[in-house]
Amino acid sequence: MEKSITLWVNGQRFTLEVEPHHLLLDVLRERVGLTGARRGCETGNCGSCTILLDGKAVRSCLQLAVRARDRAIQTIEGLSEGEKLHPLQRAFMEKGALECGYCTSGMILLAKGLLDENPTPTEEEVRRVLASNLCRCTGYQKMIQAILAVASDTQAQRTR
Amino acid sequence: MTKYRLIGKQIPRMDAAEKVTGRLRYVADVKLPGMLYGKLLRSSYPHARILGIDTGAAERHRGVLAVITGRDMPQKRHGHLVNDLSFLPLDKVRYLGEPVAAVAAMDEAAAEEAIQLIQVEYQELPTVSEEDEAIREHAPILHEELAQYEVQSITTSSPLPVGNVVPGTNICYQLQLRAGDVEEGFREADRIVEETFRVPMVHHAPMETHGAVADVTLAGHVTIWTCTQGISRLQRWLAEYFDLPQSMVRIIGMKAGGGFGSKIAMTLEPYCVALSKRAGRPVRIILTRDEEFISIGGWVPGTFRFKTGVKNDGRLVARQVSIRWNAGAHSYTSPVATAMGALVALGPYRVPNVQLESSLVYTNRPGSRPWRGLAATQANWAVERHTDSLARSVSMDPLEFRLKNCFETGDATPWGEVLEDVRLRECLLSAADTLGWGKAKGKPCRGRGIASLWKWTVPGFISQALVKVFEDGSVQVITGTPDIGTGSEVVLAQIAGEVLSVPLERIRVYGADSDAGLFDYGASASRSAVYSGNAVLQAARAVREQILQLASRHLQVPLEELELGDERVFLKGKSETSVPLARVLRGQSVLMGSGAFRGEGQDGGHRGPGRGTSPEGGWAFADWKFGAAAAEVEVDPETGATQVTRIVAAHDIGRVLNRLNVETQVHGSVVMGLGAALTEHMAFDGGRLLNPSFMEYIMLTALEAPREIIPVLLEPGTGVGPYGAKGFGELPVVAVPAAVGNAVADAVGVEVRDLPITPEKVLMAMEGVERQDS
Repeated sequence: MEKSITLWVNGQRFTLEVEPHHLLLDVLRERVGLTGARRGCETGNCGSCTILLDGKAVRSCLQLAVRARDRAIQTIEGLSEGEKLHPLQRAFMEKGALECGYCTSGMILLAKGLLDENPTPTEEEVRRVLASNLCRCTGYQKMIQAILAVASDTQAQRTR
Repeated sequence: MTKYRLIGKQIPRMDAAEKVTGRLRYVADVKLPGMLYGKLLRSSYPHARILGIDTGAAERHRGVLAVITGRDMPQKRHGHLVNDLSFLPLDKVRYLGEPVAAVAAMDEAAAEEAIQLIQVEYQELPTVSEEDEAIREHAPILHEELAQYEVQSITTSSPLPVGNVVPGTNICYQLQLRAGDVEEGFREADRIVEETFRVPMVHHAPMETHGAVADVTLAGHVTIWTCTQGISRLQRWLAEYFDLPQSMVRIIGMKAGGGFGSKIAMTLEPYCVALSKRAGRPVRIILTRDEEFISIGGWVPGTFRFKTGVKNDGRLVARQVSIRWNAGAHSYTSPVATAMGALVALGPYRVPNVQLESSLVYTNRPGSRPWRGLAATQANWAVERHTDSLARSVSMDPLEFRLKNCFETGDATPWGEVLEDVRLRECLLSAADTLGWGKAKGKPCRGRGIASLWKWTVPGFISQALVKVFEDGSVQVITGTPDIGTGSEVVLAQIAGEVLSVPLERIRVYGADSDAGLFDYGASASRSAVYSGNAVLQAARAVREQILQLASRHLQVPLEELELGDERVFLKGKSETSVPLARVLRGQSVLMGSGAFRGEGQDGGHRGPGRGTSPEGGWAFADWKFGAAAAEVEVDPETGATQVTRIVAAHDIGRVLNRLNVETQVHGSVVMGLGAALTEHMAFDGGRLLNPSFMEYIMLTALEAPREIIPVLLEPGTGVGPYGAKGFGELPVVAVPAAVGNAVADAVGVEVRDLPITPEKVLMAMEGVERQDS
């Protein structure tokens, strides 16, 4: 039985008819047309489908779309402002913190969730958060460097 | 030293912005008007005769537009070397998860429901899943008609012997090599060490599962969107399989979310084509993670038996190696992978007397596939663990023992190939030095290990390139190689930009589309930078020549006196006399240069062709790569758990083309290799995979990854690639498991000979040692 729900995705409002069992990942990809959240496993293990729900990193393959209604959903597509990239996106690019790119959306959003809560994490704190997602290409090292670089830039700006 | 403008620099990849914004489209994002969703019905038995298939209910199900079985597929078998694969078999299934029928429907749910409605009647057959069982007398035979299967050679110019199947058995490839007199060698030896090593199947696990879309028109034109590692082979295979002219098949290589060797084989495309033909609509199939595990399999597992004789002074005198590789149900590229693996298993050391026997056997498992380095990592685990045992048998330091025996420039391999420019010694020494070999360890249960590696790239496969310069001076680089995440695109742009002196912002690289017209064997075997790179270099130089000719006419100056730089043509030594590139090109529409690189083994593009002869008649691979890994580990004596704290990867890379790419490849390879070393293995029970998910198949996360991964890159060198570069993408993974295994032995004095090095194995071995001591 379809239900009409309102989703707030990247600050935009979408009114959609969805089945109660539809996954948020599928609704975002197939109905809203945002494919930046990737399907890697559908069992909540790989984290390629990570999004921010009310600012917290969650796996969209483990969320029912109906449970996300009227909550703030942020996907990787909502991180940049027009052509202006978020500092994390810029750092991932410049530091070479990605290869195939399939896990990248999820990793960047994990990092955003972390930095919003703790702007000056230690390397171990970054590793602990990234450890919830899998990457097969990069060995994680340059991602960690990129995230720490953004954190220290932000701190430098604050102290200025 | 030559100063390069772009080569060797830290330049982000061309598609980085698309990737960090989530806008890059993978095959799962391809959505065509009218597109249907395909699903495969997979066998629930590892070995069973198919007695009947009833698709009636599925055909009548809502939204279903096509249902196919083997009766709807071409009545032929496909293969890379041995044609042993029926895409939808009618006689029997040979592994659990083998497709037997396929459905295309309006939505995924309908396709899934329809699959459940298909009735297949099976008669179960005895199963064989271990390589040693498969060659026993009276073992169940997987391919009864092996004698009738078509066998192809690897390539016309490959030095490897043509595949030899043994009909009536499960053996689908054998390789033998003898050099010297091994019996005599053992008589000369002061010590003889015999050991057996076992390597289980390790999964590729790209974060993106396999997927494909096919659209077949009434005129018989086929368009495929896929995440393949090689468009040209796929085009040929698909055309052959469906009896289509190759010219009617278009392969569009989407960016792959990782491949690691799993995406070379033709996998889903035939089902998509057959369904699309039947339904008259485009059809997309994307594997679930569970399907990826059970049907894609992993690297070629194997059992390695070593017997080596050594003199008291540490000289190796004789070596006998016997390897049994597990092909699974279908051989794919495994004959060549295991042939190379078998030669790698001899080790990069001088051994005058050698006897090698390698056989590849069918079992009821998903077909093994090449895995980052073909099968080098498995073989390297065995030979490099064995090397430490040999060093211990004559009470020598493992590093010193390797230095005493390792290949040097001018040495000949057991098959008679004379090696040029070997820098293994330098790799070993720099790896050891960087790790702090010989220094105090400062902690109990901390150990260090080192391992050598060697590997070649199969020569003889072509890569083509076209470089176009437009009137405004902007450049297109067209090749046929897909960028599967390695960053090959930016490297190819750097090469063109270096030659033509054009900034990267004005260069576009594309071409993983067979309609772009260029042939490429694909992104495998560390080829792209070397093969496509050389082709681009040649093409860019050809255009450069045309530009200088035009400028020479324009400026009335001999061509030899002209130079390209900063998008201008100027007089050598007189940069003030110059003309903008755009003015030289005005009215020229577009200039084009082409290039091709084949890397022939004997007398073609390779710099150091082998010159020796062997009893089998002169194999030479030429494109040899050497390296070493050194690891420091800490073993928890309570739990047996191993933590790798530091690891060094030293390589004779020849030339770093893009430092960001190379470093990331080292980091990624090391962590992938550590997964194989410590946790990853596909556990089979009589042909049934017990751990087909990321919950049970454990890969390393950022927490377990070492805090220090240190690349040591020796340059410049004499590789066959552009600017002296050697192929690199697969190399840094190869020696990682062995270096860790050797370090664990050093830390707690126990020998783990079977991968992975689990806490359980370490603890059990430690208890065994204690029992012996008490």
